[in-house]
Amino acid sequence: MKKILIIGSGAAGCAAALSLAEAGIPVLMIEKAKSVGGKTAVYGCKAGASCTQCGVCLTGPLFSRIKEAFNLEILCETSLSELIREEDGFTAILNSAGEKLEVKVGQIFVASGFSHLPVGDSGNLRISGTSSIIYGEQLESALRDRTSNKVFDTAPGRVGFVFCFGSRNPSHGVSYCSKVCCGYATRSAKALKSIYPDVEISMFFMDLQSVKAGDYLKEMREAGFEMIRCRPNRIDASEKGVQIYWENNGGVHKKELDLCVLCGGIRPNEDNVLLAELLGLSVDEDGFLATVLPSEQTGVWVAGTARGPMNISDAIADAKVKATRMAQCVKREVST
Amino acid sequence: MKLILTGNSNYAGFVTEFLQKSDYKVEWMDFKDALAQKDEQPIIYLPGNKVTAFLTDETYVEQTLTEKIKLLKKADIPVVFLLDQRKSASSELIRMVLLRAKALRERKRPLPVVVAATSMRCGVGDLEKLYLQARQSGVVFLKYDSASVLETDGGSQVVLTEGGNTYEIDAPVLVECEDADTDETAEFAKKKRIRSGEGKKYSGAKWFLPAGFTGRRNVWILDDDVLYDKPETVLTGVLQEVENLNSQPSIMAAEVDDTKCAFCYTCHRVCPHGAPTPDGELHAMRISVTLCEGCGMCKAVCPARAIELKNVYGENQAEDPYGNEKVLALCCENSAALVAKETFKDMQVDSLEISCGGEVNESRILQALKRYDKVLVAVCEKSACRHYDGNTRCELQVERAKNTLQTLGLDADRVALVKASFAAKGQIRKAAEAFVQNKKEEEK
Repeated sequence: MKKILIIGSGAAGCAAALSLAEAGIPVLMIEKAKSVGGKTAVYGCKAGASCTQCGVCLTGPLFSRIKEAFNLEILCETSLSELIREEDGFTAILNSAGEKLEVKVGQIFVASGFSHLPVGDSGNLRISGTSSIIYGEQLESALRDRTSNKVFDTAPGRVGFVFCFGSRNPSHGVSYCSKVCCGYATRSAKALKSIYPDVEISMFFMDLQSVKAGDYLKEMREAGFEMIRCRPNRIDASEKGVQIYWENNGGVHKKELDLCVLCGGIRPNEDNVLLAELLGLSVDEDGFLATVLPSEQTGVWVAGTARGPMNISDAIADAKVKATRMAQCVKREVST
Repeated sequence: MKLILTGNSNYAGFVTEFLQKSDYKVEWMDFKDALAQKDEQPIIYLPGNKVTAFLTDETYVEQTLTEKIKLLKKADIPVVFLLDQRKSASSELIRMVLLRAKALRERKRPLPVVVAATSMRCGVGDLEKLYLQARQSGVVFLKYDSASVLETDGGSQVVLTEGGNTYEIDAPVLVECEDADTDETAEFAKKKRIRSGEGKKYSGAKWFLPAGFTGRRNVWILDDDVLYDKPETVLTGVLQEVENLNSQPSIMAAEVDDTKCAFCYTCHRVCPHGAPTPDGELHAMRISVTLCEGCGMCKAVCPARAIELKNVYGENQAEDPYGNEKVLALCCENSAALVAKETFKDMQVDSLEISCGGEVNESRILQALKRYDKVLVAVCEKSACRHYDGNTRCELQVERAKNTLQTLGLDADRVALVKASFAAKGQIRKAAEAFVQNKKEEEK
């Protein structure tokens, strides 16, 4: 039975690797970074008084089981540099920490994931200064390292969350919805509130696409969050604090904050164009990978956030579905 | 493998076709017949959602409109769709509203249509396209913060507030759009012993379970909302679960010793997965291997100690290690156990993996205290338990153990509980450090 090459070892890659390896198919997983885990490995639990179902817990069992799995080889600091299509599979030429490796594989599973918003790219939102402004992923890692009563060194008094930062905005070149930002912003805000009960939190939202069914706005206001429907147009940050400006009902409003969290969304991976060229995939209008022909014919599968914005549980489910179909393909080939 | 389907969803045709394509025998049944099936029989329930007739019934729409037009002798009355009044609308409901609103604009004499919502959630499936089409056909979309409806002579008046402004709209034809679970769903859940989750929904209640999964290993509730986004993904997930049911039930499974069983139904009441069923002939409970998830809650509560957890692969469950260190940490396999090694690396702590906090009971804690100075129990966050309430049960047991220690005149602080996810390592580490340090101070 020929090996399967999995590109990327994030949540989706690991989920696929596990279900393939458990089905008895040999798997080679390559990872560009130094360790397995991808983006979600540094995300923290966002539970406040109770679990808020952020989905980070789903990755834990995956990452611990991947170390014990049979049939599974992991190469870190490795990337795909060339691919030769043959009659019954591919010959992949890998660049493993400077060394050239040649591997024969049967099929390829792409779970290369997404990129974070490049720092400094803020579209038509004018930002001056950098102090007291953090990105969503920085808050995530702070929440991972938190103790029961402390996240930051100094307790913040007023915190603002800017939703849809770098998504649903053509001036960013991103008109799609990232689908995860309102979720993680809300959960992080609730977690902050439970750790610092006196903190004043303002949420600057516009779209609320992927909020769960339920009376979201009313619940949030009752829980003491200030919900402002707007699109902020200027943020001035200095060591004294942050001023955020927005227009509403024909007037300009201003708010003073101690900390401003920019909830950036999911951007297509920088390697997508290169990967598409190597693997014979296409890049859709938003920059995510898409298959041209059915994967059963080409032997190249795409899953997880390489395909488009999705949350952790969706990415894992997607990868599992693709892996199941892939295993069916392999078994059919073996039996014929 | 035969699958039983019941319910009256819009997706019935799609689901049947998909299952047949994947070589499954599908049998549709009446609701009552389906409920009368055996517990082990895998069953998929597709309840339709309850919605107003204006969204689904064409004749009802025509009748209402002709009546109202005659009454007012005007043709330009606006039809107002009010969404999100009590709770946010589901994707399926938004789709119905968009389709109906578009259809009203595409009549021979188009009617003004207003759709009011707290936010338009169109990021799913083809809703974005549908939303654009509706806007292009002339549907007016309003976003509001709060809404109230007043009754007037000519129908209703809707008062919307948004950002400090108030808008009043006269609406002779007002459609208050809301969807709800059907009454049958509640009956189904009661009969199958399924607990409702967030928003009192029975399906997809927990994110760590596949969509539609109910906590019972062979029962799925797939309502229209669950199936809306990616029906194929959801159904493939369900089929994978069905496969697992056949091939490998669960790694750990509970077994009843029928000579010891007191037939008291305690395990039947406690089990979150509905696995124990009474066996009248043996006069003992029997735990179904297909339904058991091996959480050990029944073992913890069994007054006759008739239940043992057994590994399906023949290995026995790990015993408490003999006290090499001073502290024993009982770590839930879904949270603390994942990071136990690195968290307790340089501390005098023995860690033991348990399958759920619900497995721990008072006697087990007291037993462990024979060999250890202290026992730390580390379980999942509140409401994050994969077995519904293992962590809250564990909390009660820890309290009970503390009380017992106090009554015996011993130090109640020898037992502690920490609730944290593995993704908040700091919290577990901090709790363990405080626990161990406390001991050191006493030694001095």
